[in-house]
Amino acid sequence: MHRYEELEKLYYKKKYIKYGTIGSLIFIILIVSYYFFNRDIENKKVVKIKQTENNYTKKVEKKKIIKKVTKKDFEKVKVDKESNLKKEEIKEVAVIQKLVLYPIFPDINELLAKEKAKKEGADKKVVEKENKIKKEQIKEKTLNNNETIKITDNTNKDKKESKKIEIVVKEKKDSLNNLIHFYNITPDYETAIKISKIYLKENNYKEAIEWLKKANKLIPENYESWYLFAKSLVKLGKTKEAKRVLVAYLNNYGANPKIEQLLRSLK
Amino acid sequence: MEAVKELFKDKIDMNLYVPLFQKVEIDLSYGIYEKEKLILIYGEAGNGKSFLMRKIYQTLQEKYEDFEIYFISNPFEEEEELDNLFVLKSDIHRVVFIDEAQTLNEEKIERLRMLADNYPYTLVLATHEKEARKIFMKKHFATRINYSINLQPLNLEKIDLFITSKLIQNDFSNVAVMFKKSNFKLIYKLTKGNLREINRLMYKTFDIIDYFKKHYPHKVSSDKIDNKYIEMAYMDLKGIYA
Repeated sequence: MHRYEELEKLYYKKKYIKYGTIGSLIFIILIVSYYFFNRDIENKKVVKIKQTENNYTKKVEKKKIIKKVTKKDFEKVKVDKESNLKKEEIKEVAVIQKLVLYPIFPDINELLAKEKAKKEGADKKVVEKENKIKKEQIKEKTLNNNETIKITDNTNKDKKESKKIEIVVKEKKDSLNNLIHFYNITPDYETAIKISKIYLKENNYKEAIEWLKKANKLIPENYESWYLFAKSLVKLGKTKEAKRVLVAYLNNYGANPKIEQLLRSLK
Repeated sequence: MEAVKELFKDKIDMNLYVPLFQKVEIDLSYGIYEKEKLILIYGEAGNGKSFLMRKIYQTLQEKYEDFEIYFISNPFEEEEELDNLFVLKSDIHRVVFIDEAQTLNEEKIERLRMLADNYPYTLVLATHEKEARKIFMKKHFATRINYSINLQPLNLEKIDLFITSKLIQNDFSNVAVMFKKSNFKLIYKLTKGNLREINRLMYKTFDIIDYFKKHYPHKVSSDKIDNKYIEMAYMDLKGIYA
């Protein structure tokens, strides 16, 4: 073979090596950049998850603290029923009861109407739309009440005042009025349930139902308000309505052993 | 292609001269005409210093009959001729071209300086850049240099001019047309504008093309010069082949 032919072979060989190395380098760079890009995204995700977890734990801790304060202090301290409530505060409570709290439990008539609609083959979407419209109406109503907003604003803005209130709550005795007062300042699901339970113990089912409605408004997915609501309806002799309420819970929020147990006992 | 490659053979043939340094030529001719004492041309090896000196020597011989003109291409080999210069002492103005002046020893350089100082002599010295800095930039010598010309390597445009005009001047315009800008770019990249390197590379390239045209004519394009052959020539010259 002539040296120029060998040279040509060598030339091609060198070209292949050159382009091969360039290609492999580009490939490696792409892989590395892809790896780092993915890692950044994963890190961001982890950070976000951690942040959400932290927020969640903080919320839970806050709730626990509030619970501790309420439970312990109410157990320890014996309160005179009429002693420390001021007249103005009582007025505020009345206003809140009238304006802020609004029942969101399905009325028995509504439930009947829904069942009829289902039987007639109406779409679920229509029902959902109705619910949405109602919720919006509720919001509008609450927003229209300047007084209530003022009260809530005051509670949010003035942390010092809320601290003072907490101290006052600690000092007050465990009475129904105090619980109502506490609820009116900081509306809480647990407090509402507790008040309703007191009414249930006193066999005051109508009042109990009112408080259960309030509790349900705060956390509608919690079964306890539904459960107690159905029980109080049974006590009032409205077993059919109670059944419908329980069925409505199961339809909306899925299976729950206690709800199902109560429903079975009613059949 | 056989005849084409001969154009780029590494030899000094004034018929193949391409005027690449016209400004330098004018400056140098003017300096000689003005009877300046010492003129220094320096630059990297293979930049065309010798070719330029030869060209000016040729033109001076034709133009200025009043001058006695000498050309020493290698002072080391032509020592006798150089020594004769020191003996000849007359009123006639003499122009002495000394190529490869880096081969001069310090004693000779000093005698040349004395000669230029005392007699009507114009000394045109051509040397490599590094040596020029060492020897001729000495204080007592540097002050007597009237012209100092640094010959730069060719740029891309001058490479184009050099190759195409060389081919066209020798009736190879069909080959000159085959060269494209990419070819000149590659030549510039490989030779860095050094004239001697360009000549060597071109000679080898045409040799390779000639071989492939004879044995594998389908591989050689008749419209253009493939960069492959230029790169192959470079590989062969640089011993990458081995």
